[in-house]
Amino acid sequence: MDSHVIDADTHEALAGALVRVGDAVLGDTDGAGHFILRDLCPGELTLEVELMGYTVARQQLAVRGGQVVSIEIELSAMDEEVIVVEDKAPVATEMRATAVLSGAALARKRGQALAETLSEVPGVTQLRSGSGMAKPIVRGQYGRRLLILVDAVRHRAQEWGIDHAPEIDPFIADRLTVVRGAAGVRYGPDAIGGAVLVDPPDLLTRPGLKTELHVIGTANGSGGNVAARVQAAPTSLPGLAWQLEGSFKRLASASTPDYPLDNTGVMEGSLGATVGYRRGSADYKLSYRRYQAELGVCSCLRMESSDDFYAQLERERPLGSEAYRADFEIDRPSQAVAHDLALARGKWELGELGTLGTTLSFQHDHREEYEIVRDAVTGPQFNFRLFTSELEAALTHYPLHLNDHLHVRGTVGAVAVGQLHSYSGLPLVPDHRSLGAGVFAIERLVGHDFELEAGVRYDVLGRTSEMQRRDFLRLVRSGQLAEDACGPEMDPVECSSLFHTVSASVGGLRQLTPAWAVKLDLSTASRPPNPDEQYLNGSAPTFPVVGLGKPDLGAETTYSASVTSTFQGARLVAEASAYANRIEDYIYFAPAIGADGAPIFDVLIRGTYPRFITKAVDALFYGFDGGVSATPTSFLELGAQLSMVRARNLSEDSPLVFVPPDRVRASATYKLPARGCWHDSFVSLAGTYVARQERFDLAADFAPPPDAYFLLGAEAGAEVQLGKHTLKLALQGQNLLNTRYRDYTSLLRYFADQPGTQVLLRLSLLTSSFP
Amino acid sequence: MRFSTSLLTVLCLSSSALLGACDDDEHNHNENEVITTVILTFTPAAGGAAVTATFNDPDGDGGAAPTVDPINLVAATTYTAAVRFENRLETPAEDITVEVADEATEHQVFFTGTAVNGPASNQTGAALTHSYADTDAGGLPIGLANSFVAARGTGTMLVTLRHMPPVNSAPAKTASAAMTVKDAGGFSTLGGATDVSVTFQVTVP
Repeated sequence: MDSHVIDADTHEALAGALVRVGDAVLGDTDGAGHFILRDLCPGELTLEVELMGYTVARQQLAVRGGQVVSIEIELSAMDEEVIVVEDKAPVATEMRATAVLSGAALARKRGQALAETLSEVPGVTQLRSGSGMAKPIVRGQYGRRLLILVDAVRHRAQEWGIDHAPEIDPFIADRLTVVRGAAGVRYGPDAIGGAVLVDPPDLLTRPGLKTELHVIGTANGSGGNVAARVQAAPTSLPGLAWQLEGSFKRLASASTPDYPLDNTGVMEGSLGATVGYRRGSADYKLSYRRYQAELGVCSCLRMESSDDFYAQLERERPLGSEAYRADFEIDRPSQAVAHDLALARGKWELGELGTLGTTLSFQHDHREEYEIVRDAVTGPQFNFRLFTSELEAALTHYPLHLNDHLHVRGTVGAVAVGQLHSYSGLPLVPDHRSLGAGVFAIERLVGHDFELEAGVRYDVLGRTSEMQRRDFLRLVRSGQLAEDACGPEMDPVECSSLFHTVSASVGGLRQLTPAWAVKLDLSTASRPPNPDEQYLNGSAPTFPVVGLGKPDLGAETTYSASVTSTFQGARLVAEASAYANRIEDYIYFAPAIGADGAPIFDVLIRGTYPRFITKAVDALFYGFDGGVSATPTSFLELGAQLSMVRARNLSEDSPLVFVPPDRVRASATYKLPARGCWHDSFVSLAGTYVARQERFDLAADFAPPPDAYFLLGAEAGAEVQLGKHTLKLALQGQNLLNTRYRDYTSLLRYFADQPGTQVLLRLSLLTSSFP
Repeated sequence: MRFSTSLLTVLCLSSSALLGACDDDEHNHNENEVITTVILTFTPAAGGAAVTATFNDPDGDGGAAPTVDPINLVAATTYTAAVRFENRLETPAEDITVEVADEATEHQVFFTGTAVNGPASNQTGAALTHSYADTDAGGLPIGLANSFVAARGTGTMLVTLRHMPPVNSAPAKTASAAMTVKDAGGFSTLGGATDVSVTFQVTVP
């Protein structure tokens, strides 16, 4: 089929117009406005043609086999007013190294947990727990030093334990962005390591209906995952749009090459509803999401007594693994987690001033952890609830045009946060309530081939921790608190803290050639300690140690510098980034050393345990990460990535623990030419090599790091266009060599191997119709 | 799955988190599964005053260090010895022995150390010779009631309460449990988890 695209008024040929069917882009028109469509599937289809400055043209076609058709499509220039409404402020350039997963790249990760989805981004690894869940590590930082924002709202949860995986269903994301490096000004003072942005799809901006259905089956940890989303905007009520989504996952225990990881089954569900309304210069959105999961924790974890733990370290495979099964049953030990996020957002164009956006959000995080107990004991042994409400307002002012090539853009904003934490169960952490507020401003000077950015932020956090007098006295007896530290005698005891923190950054970008840019970022950010870091007292839940917090801890402050070079060529896309991050008063949970220089041990009723304390040390993180993707020919894509982190405790001149070892990843994708209704077919092969962590501190860890390993993966996929529907199929294999390995940043490494070969089959059906 | 609680949560949140406290009815610091105290009571079989020895950590893990009484017995005497577990974080103290006895088929107390010769400890000539004096529903020893014969000597006695719940319905507590500990010289090859592991000094002058 030969199509010809012209301007409706002048009838001049239009070059560079985008031609697509639904979401599938077919290509651009050439200099003469021509575009040739081949191998179309028989049936009805709607061709859409887009070009900047013109309204989108739609042409319905009935395609029959063996026909050659010539059509002419007219594009009408937009009138001025329409352009104003559609003018969105450009997304601010990020001066730090960033990676975005969206579209096909994200589709290939469907069915995996959030941390696993992100793990192919350079600089990102996973901190795995004893269940199937994990949390992302960015440049050696994780948990509370790495912020996760869902729909631009900071995810508030128990993020301190290694086994506290983020309660987020990655299916809700249309786009995942990883910002590597301290980003305290924009995202909050705790963003010492960076931020992960989980952005759901935008609501439809024109009347229509879009649906997607994903069905994923997995072989190791047999089971599956069903997820669906409906997006609609009714013709009868222009400006209104809504979206519903849901997913359900049920997996049996996974297996290592030699034995099942007993009791690692997963049951997970999520639901979400969003409604939006646009009218004139205002845009409103209401959204509610709930995530809920029951996660089995491997029976192989033995941390209830230090003797059992150390005995297990000597074993090749877990004691009693003959009785292990890869079944669906979830027994104790297990976790039940739930997370609710409700938000209301409004955006208004304020005359000459700019755009004002405000978001009011509520979050509820509930985590219950069940240990193996005597039958007489029911309920969870650790039960945490965290309520957070947050109000944010930000004004993005209209650009100030200094001259034709020099503009100032910027945002000023304020945030208020209230939190309520309630804990019950074995003695561990206090309850707390807190109120915080912050103000920030980021301004950028945008030139023809450069950008400069400066930002500053101030936050104040007041927090009252509340504990029973008995628990307070335990802190006094172990020497952490003076008896009069929290005021006059009362029950419960309230201990208050107040933290002022300042974050600042300056950054610059220089476009050396149209494809090549260099970015520099200098940032500082400060993170106040969490109540567990202050008041932990007793046996820690994750490791067989006695953990003692430090109530008078101050905020830790990072000073970071990073240089990033990006190249965006037609056949080569690359990013390389080097960074150094010095953290003063880095809050570190490490062995207590006595006056004689020897580690301190405490006698508990379950034996003798090493004593760990939270202490403020000076730490240095530095390293390099980067990735390159080359398409030497249109059918071959080659990729490679490298991540290196070094981290030292400068105060004690020792390596820090749980710092990811070096890793490289290489992949090759062969794209098959479209054939009939089939398009975007590919086969790919990927290898990941993870070195042994050679820098370790046996005193702060419990076992030497595991050996290096290599994992091989492969995938094949294709899409078929069936009228308005697109069907995507993919078959993916992980750890195809069934390599037996242990991962340094996994809690499982002390007890058992990681899972063996995994095979996933993925089916996605996407439909869109716009009248 | 409990989607019903979520609406309540949001309502609670909206009224509370910025303004004040959300009344939380779940908030009962329930000290489940905790054992703070082990009491050994040695009663001479032929009659006479009982000797008790207590390992006591009344404020639980962390806080003050536990206190441990020495065990001083008389040579050439046979004792019946009862073991009692308590949770003294509760007031009044909670008797955990009952819970252990109720689940006797999943629990066993082991006596090892340099002062003990017996089913779980291979120390010929040690001050105390241990034998179990109770059985569970399956006829296996529990170790809440015991018999010790004292002879001249000193050393340590390690009292270990092991919880051995079945793994995928396969029983973990077996007739060979004490032998496994004896052969390995410890608990490294025994299934289950340790709920109590306390050491006493034994003196039999």
